[in-house]
Amino acid sequence: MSWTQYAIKRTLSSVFVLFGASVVIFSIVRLIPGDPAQVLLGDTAREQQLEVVRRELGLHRPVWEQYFIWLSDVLTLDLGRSYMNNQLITELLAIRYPRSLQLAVLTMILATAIGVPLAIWGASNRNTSKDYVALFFSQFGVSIPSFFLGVVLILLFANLIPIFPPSGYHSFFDHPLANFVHLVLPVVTLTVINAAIITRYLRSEMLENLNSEYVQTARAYGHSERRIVLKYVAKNALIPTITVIGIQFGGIIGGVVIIEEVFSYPGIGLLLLDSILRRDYPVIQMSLLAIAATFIVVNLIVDLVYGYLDPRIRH
Amino acid sequence: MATNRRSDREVTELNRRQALTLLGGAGSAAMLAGCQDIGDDDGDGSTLHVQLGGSLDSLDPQLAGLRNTQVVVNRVVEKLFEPDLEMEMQPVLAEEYELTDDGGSVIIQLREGVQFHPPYEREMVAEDVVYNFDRVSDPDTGSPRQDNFDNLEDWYAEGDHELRIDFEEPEPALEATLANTGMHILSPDALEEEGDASSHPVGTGPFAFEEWVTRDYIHLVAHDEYWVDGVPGVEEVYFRPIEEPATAITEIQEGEIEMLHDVPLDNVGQLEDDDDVEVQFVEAPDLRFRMMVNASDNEIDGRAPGAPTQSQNIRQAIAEAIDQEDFVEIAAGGHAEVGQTVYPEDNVWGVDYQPFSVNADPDRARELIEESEFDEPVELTMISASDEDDLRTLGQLAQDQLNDAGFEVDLEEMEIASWVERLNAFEWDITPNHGSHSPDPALKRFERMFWTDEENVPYYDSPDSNADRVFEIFEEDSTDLSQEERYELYAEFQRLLCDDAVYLICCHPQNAHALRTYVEDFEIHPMDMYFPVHNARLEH
Repeated sequence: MSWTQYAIKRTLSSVFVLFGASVVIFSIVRLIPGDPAQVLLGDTAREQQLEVVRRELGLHRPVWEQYFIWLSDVLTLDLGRSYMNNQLITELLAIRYPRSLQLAVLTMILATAIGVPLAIWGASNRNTSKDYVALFFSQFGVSIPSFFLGVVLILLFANLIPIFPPSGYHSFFDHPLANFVHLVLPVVTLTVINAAIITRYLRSEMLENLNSEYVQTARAYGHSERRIVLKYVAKNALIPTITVIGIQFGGIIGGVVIIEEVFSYPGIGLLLLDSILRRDYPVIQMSLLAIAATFIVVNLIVDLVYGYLDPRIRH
Repeated sequence: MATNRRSDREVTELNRRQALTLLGGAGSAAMLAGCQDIGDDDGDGSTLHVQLGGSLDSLDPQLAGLRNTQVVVNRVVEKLFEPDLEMEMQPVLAEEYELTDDGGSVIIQLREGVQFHPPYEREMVAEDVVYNFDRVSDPDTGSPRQDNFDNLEDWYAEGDHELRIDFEEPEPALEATLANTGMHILSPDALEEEGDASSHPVGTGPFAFEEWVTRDYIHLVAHDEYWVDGVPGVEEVYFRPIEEPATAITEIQEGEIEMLHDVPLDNVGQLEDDDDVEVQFVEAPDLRFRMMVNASDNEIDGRAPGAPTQSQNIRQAIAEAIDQEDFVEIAAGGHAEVGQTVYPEDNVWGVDYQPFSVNADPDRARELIEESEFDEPVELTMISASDEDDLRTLGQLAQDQLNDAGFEVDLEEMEIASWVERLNAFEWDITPNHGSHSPDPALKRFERMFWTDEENVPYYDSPDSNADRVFEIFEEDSTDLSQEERYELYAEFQRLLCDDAVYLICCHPQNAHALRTYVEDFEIHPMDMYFPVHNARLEH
């Protein structure tokens, strides 16, 4: 199968996955206990008032009918409005999503830049102090809770030594420097965790490859250890690591609620959290769909790159 | 051949690089293109930054449920009356009023020269008030504030600045009713144009709404045509929701924001030690940490038949097990006062009445259990909303205290939407709650405890209680009574409620705000929803 055929096949299957995701998302959202009308009106609302609001929100219709109305709206790019404040969901996502995207992109660039060399350095010096440094970093990063690290960094670098702001966000276009300094602490927090995962995964891949026969053959041919590690082993070990990086990227977009909460960083995670707490179904559904779409697109890109780098995958 | 292979590889590598460059470039462009301008302060010293303890649900004061919405919108959209710092009702959009001889109607003179905010600027007239009252009272609007109109029969303009309201029954708390949440006067032109005010409120207040980026900030700007000279004291205000206490404290200590609206009470010491920060406290007549105890014997699906809390002895045993001092110290960081009646003792409606031990009496609790038909340990289901730290603390603290006094409490923590659902399904015996109430007990806003219509069942109707007399007082028309007689009536109401132990006060927390010392002329309001940010000035 040529790469083009492979790409078309994978793209089509991604569309089906996205459709499946929409069904799952819609169903899960409806399964969460709690009535949006009740949340909207508060615990003192009377039944008659609740009924009016339910009808207004279309919640009196059968669930399958609600799903098809939602799906047809999404397909015509009418994402609807928030139950709570009537804001256009298109606008909400247009503001919040890029912020999380920026956070995720910077985190993954930094995490990769730290994690990859550290893993290669550790694995190629196995059981030495250098390897222990890499191991310690990866253990530390995967063990420490992100909210704890975030608060510690705030206390250290915003309170004790006030060099970075503890929270907030500024536009990159209006205030590039302010945008950068506001991102430092959340990005560092996420980087420590994600770089540790990359280090851990790549190191073990490296070790597996270093013990394989082709490496022994290369050594027998007299290739230098540096060449073997960088040219052959790292290259092979990096291919599966790309998948991990892709998954991490999607995970950051949808899973940084705690970090966004700690740093009051107004990304899609907080939007989703608020929407869930208020049972704002349209916003929950579209936020989850946006996150699912990110996962699917990132995985598609990873698969396409993977298929390009390793033609065996295409067969 | 070798040359050709190298050449092929070079082409391939070039393509890979190009592909990666393209991918990276496209990603960066998409990312940066998405980073829109979200607004910013200019740092010129006339901009105030205020922290809020949580996000807002909507900006429509007639529809919104969250307290934070009222905090912001009360300075954008005004009402006819509002309590001042001494908790006395003052006319705002009203100027004066006169009751008819039979007390069945009131004629209100509206303030002249009051302008709505741009771009809907024009003078506010009586028809605008009528429009807003019609909106809130219309069941199709779905306002949770519809019950404000339970006793208002009709309302109409009798001139540009004269409003007449007819009552079903003479209204004993007219000013408080018109100051109630939801009685805001929005611009009808804006409502007609924009459909609702949930993302763009237009009123007559000292600040005009400029922009709201949810969970990021709400930007208000000074209303140049405001009817009070010299107000507001700053050009702009940004409200920022910051929930994490460590972040909020760091923000004000570093001067990134000038005011904390929600001071985490258990971290107050950290702020008080800072010379650049002032913390203001005030007794809050409307705030209380409380336990609601389900006394209902209604045959509702979720309600277990013969539930222990239907027994007055068991409810009183719960009250004896509660250690109020613990709540003051742990849940309110010492910034609260004990009390067992609805209003704090030194409030105008306060009663000096404490039938239960302030410091908990587990032995007495056990005696009361023994006097009841239940055996130790009495199993109770406590539901608690986990979204807010103080509610979690209340629930956990009460669970520990009750378990030491002959109870076995199953504490189920859940987020607010599930909590409301469980509450209304009656699937609980006891639940912690906090919040505010009307400054006047005549206002019928005591939650669903006192609902009496067929479709809305109260959870305070057990035969083993004082419910009959309490409901009688609640329904009683106190218009013709003197203030002294009204006080006695509502004092009895509070004592009976207290004896029945259906509405257990854990403590009355104080209202607290923190501000940088260069914020001047700001004085804390007893009710935090009337956050007087319009009086604040910045003196750098």
